[in-house]
Amino acid sequence: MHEMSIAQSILRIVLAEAQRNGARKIKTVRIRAGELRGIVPSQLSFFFQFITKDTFAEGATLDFEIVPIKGKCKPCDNVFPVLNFEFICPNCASKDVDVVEGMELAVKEIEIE
Amino acid sequence: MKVTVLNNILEANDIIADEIRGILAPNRVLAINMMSSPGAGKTTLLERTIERLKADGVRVGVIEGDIATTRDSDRLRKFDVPIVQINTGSACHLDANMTKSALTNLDCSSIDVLFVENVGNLVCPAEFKIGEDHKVMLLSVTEGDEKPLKYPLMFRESSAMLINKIDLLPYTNFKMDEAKENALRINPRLMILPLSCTTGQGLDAWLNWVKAELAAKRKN
Repeated sequence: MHEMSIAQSILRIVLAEAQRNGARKIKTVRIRAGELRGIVPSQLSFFFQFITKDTFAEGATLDFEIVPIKGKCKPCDNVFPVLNFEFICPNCASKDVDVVEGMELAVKEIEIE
Repeated sequence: MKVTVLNNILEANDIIADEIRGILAPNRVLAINMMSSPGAGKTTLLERTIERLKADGVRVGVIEGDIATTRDSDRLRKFDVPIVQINTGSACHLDANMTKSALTNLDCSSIDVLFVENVGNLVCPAEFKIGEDHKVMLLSVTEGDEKPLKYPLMFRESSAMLINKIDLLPYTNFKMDEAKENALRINPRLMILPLSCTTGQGLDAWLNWVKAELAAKRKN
């Protein structure tokens, strides 16, 4: 259900951006969402559709780019894809791993008219 | 026309979370965001915790988050500590904005540790920073040992995981070793403390952790 709060934030961002560019209609909103965020695209789209009624964003579609988790090993600096949420360096087996990708949650681009 | 935006969707929340840090900083209040699924025992843990910390001279304040009702804060009134209730309406989590407005009803100079009891939910609360020093999550043995793999963000973001209701272990198929292993896979830095709010077993370790964190905060 946090998708509702997130949908509201997205709407705020895209309406401000549309206004800045003198747009009358927002067609597409591209979202970059890290895998760790656990965003459910269908649910987020559903809420977004619901709250954009009677705004410039009515009818806009949300496109999702899901960013896989990438870790960086602190002892050996190895950067590697984290699969199945296993934060273990394949190079040196250290568990001291920082998340460098996979926590994103951003509006990347909008398409306007 | 395509327009590049690159705006962090949670930025508005994160800015207010930083403002909360600013409000708590002058008095060096230790803020702990307590998260769990409904029924894991957050309020009972708070009852035991407040009772013991109060006896040790630690001044506690509480922000209670619930979708509706004041039942949880009613349970804590007997301890005579400052409590502010937030009813989120339909929201499944507390966000920084709600927490900040609740804080205006608390005198931060009269508390050492602020416990924020989040809405019972293993997904959404982990997404929203509320200016806390630590996220602490409570998992109960009746919920199952596979939970870390299902809700990775909460386990990744938490400093400590308390495994509650260990007095019920003989009646469940909860495997302590597997729960620990699953959680540590996602967050190797996680402090894991098994306890029972009913028997009191393991509570000392938890209270010592809170006191050590408070001492560390006061030292800086």
